[in-house]
Amino acid sequence: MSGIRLAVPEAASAGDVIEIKALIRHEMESGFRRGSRGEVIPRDIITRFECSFEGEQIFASDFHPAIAANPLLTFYARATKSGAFEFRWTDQNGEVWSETATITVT
Amino acid sequence: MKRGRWVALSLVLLASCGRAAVPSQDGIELPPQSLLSGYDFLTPDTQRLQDDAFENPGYLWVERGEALFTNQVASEPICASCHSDGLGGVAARYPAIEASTGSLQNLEGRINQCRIEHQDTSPLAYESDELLALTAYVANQSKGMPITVEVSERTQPYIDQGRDYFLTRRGQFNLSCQHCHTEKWGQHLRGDTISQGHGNGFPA
Amino acid sequence: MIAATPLQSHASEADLIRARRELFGTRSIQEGRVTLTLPPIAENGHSVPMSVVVDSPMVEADYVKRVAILSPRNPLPVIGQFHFSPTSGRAEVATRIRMSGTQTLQAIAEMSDGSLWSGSMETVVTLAACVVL
Repeated sequence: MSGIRLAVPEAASAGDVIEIKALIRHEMESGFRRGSRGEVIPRDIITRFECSFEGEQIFASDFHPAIAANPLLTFYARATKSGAFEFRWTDQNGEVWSETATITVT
Repeated sequence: MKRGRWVALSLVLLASCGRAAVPSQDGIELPPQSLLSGYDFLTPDTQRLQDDAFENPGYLWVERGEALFTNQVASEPICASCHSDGLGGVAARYPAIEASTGSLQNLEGRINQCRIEHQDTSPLAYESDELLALTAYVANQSKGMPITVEVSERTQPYIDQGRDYFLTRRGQFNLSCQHCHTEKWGQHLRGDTISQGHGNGFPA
Repeated sequence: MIAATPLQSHASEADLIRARRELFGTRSIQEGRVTLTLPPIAENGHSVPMSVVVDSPMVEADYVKRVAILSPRNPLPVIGQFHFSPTSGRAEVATRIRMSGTQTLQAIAEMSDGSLWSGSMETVVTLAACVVL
């Protein structure tokens, strides 16, 4: 179970601006919290989110520790043609999670 | 999903190392018609967030719980193979008397008992991701159903213990649960509105 | 009244100015075109809903390249950056952020022509006693 949730319309008319929601389950440990013995809990966050359509980047985000846990993004894209959106999350260690969603544009 | 809070508190009593303390004698019970879920004390924005299955982070655990419930893990029989009809209404009657021991048991305890007795595997730790996920999944199947915890001669001792705990002053501020949740619900504690402290809607 | 020093660190005003300079150089920033929306009172400082929208046609010749969200009070001055393209259709994004205390956040947008615009909003963040969703 990937812990990724996407809300992308299945179909749209060419020229429509569609709303996309992307959420990934992740603690986004800020690095500012202390554990029960007073030790600092090390930072462990996703640092980059990218959304591309058919290989071309439409929208990207740089995440810093102030982005809340289980980061949710609501953003927009203009529907031009049918194809696949690709969503990529990269964490501070270079680990990548990705997911795709297709849309039919008439 | 609502739970009788006296009964829920009896679990806390069982878990705590009880020091003898005298419960307050002036316990006021909230009349049934004034009972409000913690949901009713949230701001409209937070209520909207809770209602949105996509945005409410809690549903990530419900989904994870569903996966644990229905997927094969090593050689364990999967939960879904016995519970093929689902578990609607189950969470609404917990905590419940467990048949073999005659003791009160909460939902987490019941899940772990199933794991030991019927799945031949180890129990899950309290507050572990897996146990939270399974509990959230099972609880979600009773969403919207009224709490139907057994109130009878055999559960009354637990209810009484929970009530005593609820009324007893403790801690640095020497307050009992009663002081905020029965006497001052609806008022503010720092930035939050005090709820009536019901146990419905957990895990949260 | 002497305020007690909180346990968490704060970014200083100097950190914020330095962050702004690192992100945008010394170009002047005009107020306007950027609407930053936050709840006036945040029920929970660990997850504050935030949205930012920039007034722009979002076409090849005139679009928003990026928006940075800055905090004068969080331990780090930059909360996040959002990069748009003409295909975004709308220069708008919503997410959830962490805020350590009452403050006025600033959103700075860089347009395709290099100009900088900003908007800001104050949110009161109280110490939550116990917030459970």
